[in-house]
Amino acid sequence: MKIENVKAQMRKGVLEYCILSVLANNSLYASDIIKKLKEARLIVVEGTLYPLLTRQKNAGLLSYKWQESTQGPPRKYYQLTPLGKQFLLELDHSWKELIEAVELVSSFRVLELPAQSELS
Amino acid sequence: MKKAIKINIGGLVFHIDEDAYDVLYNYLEAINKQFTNSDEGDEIIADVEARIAELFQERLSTSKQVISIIDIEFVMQVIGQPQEFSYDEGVEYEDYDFGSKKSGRRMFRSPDEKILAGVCSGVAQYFSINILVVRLLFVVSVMFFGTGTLLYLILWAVIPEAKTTAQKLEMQGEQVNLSNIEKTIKEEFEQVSENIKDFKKSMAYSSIKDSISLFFKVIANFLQTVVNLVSKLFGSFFLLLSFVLLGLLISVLFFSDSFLSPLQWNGVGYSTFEIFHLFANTTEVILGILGLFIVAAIPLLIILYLSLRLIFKFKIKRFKSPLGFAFGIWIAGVLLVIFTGMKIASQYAADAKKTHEYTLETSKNGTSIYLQTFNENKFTDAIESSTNLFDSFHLTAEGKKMYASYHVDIQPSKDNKIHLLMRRMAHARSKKQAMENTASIKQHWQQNDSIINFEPYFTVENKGKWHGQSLKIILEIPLGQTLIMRNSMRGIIYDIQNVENMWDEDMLERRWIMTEDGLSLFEEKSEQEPDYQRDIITDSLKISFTDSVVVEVDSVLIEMKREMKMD
Repeated sequence: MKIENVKAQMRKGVLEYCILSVLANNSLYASDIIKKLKEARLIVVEGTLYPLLTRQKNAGLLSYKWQESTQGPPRKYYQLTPLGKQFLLELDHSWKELIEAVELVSSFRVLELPAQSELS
Repeated sequence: MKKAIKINIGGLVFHIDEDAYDVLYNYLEAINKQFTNSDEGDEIIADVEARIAELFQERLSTSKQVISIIDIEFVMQVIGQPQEFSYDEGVEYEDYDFGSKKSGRRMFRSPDEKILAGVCSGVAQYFSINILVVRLLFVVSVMFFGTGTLLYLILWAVIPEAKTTAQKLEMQGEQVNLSNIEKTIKEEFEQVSENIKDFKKSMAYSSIKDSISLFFKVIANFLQTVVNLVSKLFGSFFLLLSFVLLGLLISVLFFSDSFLSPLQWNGVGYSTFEIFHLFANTTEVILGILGLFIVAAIPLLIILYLSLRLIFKFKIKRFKSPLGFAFGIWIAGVLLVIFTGMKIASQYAADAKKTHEYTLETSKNGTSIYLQTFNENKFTDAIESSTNLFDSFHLTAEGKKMYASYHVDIQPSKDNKIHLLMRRMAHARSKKQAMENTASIKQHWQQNDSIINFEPYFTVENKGKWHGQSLKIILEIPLGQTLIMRNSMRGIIYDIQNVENMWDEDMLERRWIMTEDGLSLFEEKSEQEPDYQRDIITDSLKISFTDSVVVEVDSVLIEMKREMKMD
């Protein structure tokens, strides 16, 4: 098990949630979404995003509109569908639960750490 | 100086260095491969291409107008390697070697060069032949009873359209031609012999385990080469076979001038439609033929499809399971045939019989009655130029008439008169209709003194449908009356009750007398009566006896009515 793989998997696990979050209040086109996710250092390569967007769109969470662009061909602007909004709310909820759970588990670790150092 | 190539990506045109083009081609190809199995594939690829176009645009300026390999590397870095795209856990993708590997050619429909769906141009590009040749071949195959149309539709359905740049580039991948196939086979065999060398080496130096696995690898490699070649040959054979059979099927079912129709052999020229139409109404005929076509064509289409797959090794995205789909339609076809068959059969459920009785003149001063047919030739001519549909029914080309044979029976009369009973039978949905259908039976007979002439067949009225019509004539002869059946009655008399228990054929040309137990042999040989029937033909003179006597001398006809005594 490589540390890089685990990290990547953790990132990928929350990526779907983050895409929905980014689109929560405004409709964006792929490059905008990429920019935001890159700022947050959630994705390394852009290619990761495209299969996810398509899958979420096919699952009915997202919809898109074509919009003319001043430089180049028309762009796909993604936005949340009502189902996507509901989905996001539920994920918000479970994300909070997850944070609490992880923090709780981590707090045990803080208590146990001295014990471990005693052993060694 | 470098050569630049013009490409269209994401709807924009770019100029790109040749080396950069190769790398981009392989990159897109790899992305394509990654997603080729998923439904979203095309969309993802289109999105990625749009993004590539955008990145290209950002990197170009008035001072830099050509995409170089550095730009491609940048794009690949930003977008990432295809194996990094997937976020599915546990799914591993093989590394793809960009820049060096050139993949083989795949068949796509070409959207840039199409008349209908781009099938022809796709095929033409795949085989590197002139598109005009392919189109002409298709037109010719369409004339083969429309089979080409079917083939076109199948290819349309199974060959994906080249939507992405990578796919368009793939259309022109390494050529598929004889020398290339030869090259591939050679390479594969070289690989095999290489492996065998390795195998020998490993036998000498390394462990047994390694050499065994290598041995199997060698075998597997060799087998794969052979299987590949054989499957292509098989595919081509079955492709041709199913194509020809489909053409023949269509010709038999839908074309009246099919040389294959059994009713063509005597020049009768009934189409399958017309034959069916003898039994059923137009709707039923159309449904029935359609059903038969589906039932017979689906297996052929499946063979056609499988052989196409064997040859071109394409995948279908449009239908999840084309075989299941085809099976569904096939079942529908079977049901259609059964349904129509039952519907047609129901029109023969009821039968009816209608008997007409005629009283004939009794022969004067005890002379014998002669039974014979009108000019025998007329019937044999009609039958010879006709085709036996089934049983005793014959169809003729002339006027598309139906002829059928019938039987004559001879029984003792209840009184001292000769009676002729004409019993017509027919079928229909209801008894009443069946009774009406008996009227379609037309039969002609005539009495001339002691001679009774029969037409040796009955006809079903023109435009008549077959309603299972049949006819029986019963001749009732008074007791003590003698009678002779002439040779021409051979085909008509059937199982006539006689005291001597003679076969029908033996009863001809003998004199019989009617007794209470049926006919009884009266005289071994009928005395020499003038033969009214036999034509006399010499070089200059022809005399024929039908309803009238016709004498023909040097093409001049003299006709005499029957009333003339020929003593």
